[in-house]
Amino acid sequence: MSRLLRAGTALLLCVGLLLPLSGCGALELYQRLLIHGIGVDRAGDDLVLTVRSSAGEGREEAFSCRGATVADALVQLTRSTGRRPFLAHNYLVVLGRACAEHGLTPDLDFFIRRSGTRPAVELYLARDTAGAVLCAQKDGAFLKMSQLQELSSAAQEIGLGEAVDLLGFENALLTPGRDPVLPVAAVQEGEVVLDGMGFFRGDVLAGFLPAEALRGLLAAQNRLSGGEAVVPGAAGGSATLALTRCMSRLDPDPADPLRFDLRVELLADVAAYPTGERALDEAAYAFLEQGLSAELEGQIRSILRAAGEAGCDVLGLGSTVYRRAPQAWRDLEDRWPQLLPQCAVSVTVSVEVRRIRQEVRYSAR
Amino acid sequence: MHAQRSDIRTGQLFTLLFVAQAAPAILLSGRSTGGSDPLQGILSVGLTAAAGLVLTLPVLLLRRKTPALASRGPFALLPVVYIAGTVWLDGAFLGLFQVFLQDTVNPDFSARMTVTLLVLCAAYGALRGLECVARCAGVIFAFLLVGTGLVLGITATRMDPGNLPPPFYDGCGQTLRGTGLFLSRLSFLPALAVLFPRAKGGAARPLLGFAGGLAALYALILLLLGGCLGPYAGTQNFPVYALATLTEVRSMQRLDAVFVGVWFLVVTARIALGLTVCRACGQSLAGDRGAVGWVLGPAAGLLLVTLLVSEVRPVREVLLAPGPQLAILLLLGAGVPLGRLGRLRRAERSAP
Repeated sequence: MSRLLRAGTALLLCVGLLLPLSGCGALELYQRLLIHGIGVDRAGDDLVLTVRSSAGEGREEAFSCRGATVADALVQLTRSTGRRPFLAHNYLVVLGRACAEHGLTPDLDFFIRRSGTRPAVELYLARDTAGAVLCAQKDGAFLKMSQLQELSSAAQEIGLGEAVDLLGFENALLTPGRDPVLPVAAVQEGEVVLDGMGFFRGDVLAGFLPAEALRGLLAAQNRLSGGEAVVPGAAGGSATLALTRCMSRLDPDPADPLRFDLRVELLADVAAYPTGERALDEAAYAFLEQGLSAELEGQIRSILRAAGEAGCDVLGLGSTVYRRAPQAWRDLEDRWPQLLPQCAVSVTVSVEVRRIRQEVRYSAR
Repeated sequence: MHAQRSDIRTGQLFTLLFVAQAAPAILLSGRSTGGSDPLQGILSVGLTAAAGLVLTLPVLLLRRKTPALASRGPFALLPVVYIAGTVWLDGAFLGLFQVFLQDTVNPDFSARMTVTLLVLCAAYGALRGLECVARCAGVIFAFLLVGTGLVLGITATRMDPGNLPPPFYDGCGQTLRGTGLFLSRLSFLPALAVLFPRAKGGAARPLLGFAGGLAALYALILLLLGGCLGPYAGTQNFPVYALATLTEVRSMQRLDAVFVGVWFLVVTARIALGLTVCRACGQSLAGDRGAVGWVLGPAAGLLLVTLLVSEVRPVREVLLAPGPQLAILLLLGAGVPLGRLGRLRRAERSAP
């Protein structure tokens, strides 16, 4: 092959490959609806979608559309806006309470199968409707979707909530002996706030966990990584403890698969003390430790009671048996939701407040 | 017998084979590994690597005895059989790759046109020669390591041991099924049989590096599929791509495009290898005449098989069936070299 012919062929092939791979001939940006957030509500047999998208120059816009399925509603959206939805940068999906009470599988299936969506999209459960959450305005401006996406992540960092994405929700649904949870978003005075967690039996909403109990949920699942806890001080008032490390372990009883031992160990620092003392005595430290451990134990027991009565295994007791004693799990699997209220969980929370002992007393002048 | 040029070193050849054999990794799924237990999948990969090493022995031994793919006597049509086998195996793979592009990547451009251009690029490389394809594969190997390492390294931060099922919960059937399925994808065997005589240098270290590296790559991908995606992987047609979509580090998101881009290069190298094998087979029949025909003809056949696999479901089920593929690989990759080796040894023994 002559050199000229080789060069010409190579150039032709390069240009040929560049054209389709760069998307030439694809839609222009103005022909696309860049979706950042989707809300799904149920209205009878139909679904109502609330879509938040970027309108350019930092502005956001919201649309509403209706259809028999999520895909059908998005088609209606194209008919009304003239733009094709682009889902690759969708940050989050908010699911309305009615959808959760009906069962989430039909509504989430679109996000699992559809190309262009991704498993890392954040999920929220609306206390009322997803439309209200996505269309909440303060001072005439929509809440940015990136901010809403960060709400649950930030809450998890401070130990007051749990971030759940589509991957995590589906895995909790599909893993034997586990039931999923979702952070609850509510609108209060024009602002979107996190208001506890919803727990599910399968894909159907079964109840709510209050925000006050969520630190216990995270601690039991070995996901508590930080935050501040307010506990009574030994001499009255309230002290603040900064949580620095948490390790928990859930062990089934080898002799009885319905008995479990949950041990939580926490390390904390004194962040604020009501009397302003720097050098605390041993009794004060012990009082703080006992206060926090009692609080967390109470939270964990309330979660076990509330979820267990609904047959929901939010702490993954069943999945622990599934992984540690698979033979025993084979006998229990089909009856697990009925056996769950009978499970006995021994909860032990031990808190260590770090004693630095570097405080120096200055004598008064 | 035609004189064979030693075009490349064995290290280059095995790098090329590594890149080509890594190509199917993007299409891994529970169906292609025989089940969802990653531990059994990793065991299958190990067993396949060991079996693959054993199956290469006839080719290694044959190399010392005869440099050429014989085209006389009872083996006169052998090169044609190798060409047909290569077109079948590579065409079936490319057809499944096209289905992956259409179904999962879902680009706004024609997947069929992209695959056609990919084959034309590969054909150009094959026409330039084995050395050109091997050097290119060396560059692609670097991209593969860096690109895959980046994407899988970021994804690994989402590893959750709670996603892994208890080992052997459903018995050890998956290990056996998985080994059979992986063996049916050892497409490097026929290529090695044809091209190994043209490589210079020792084979032991490159071969062990090839087998160990490939096993490590597949084992890592299976472990991440199980530990990061967990049961969610079973909801996806091509879960490796879903794994790549998890990559996000601060503002760096959706690095799955990087992953697919790297795999385009990998698939191009694989097809170029296949067409180079076809050209080498043609050379053993007709010398250096008609090189263009010996490349473009199989390329056209490859595109036809790709079209049938991607568009015609009954044909897809036949061409993608692991049983016939395994039979072709064992025949061309080990059976024929073993037969030739036996014939040569008998000739040596009966020689005065």
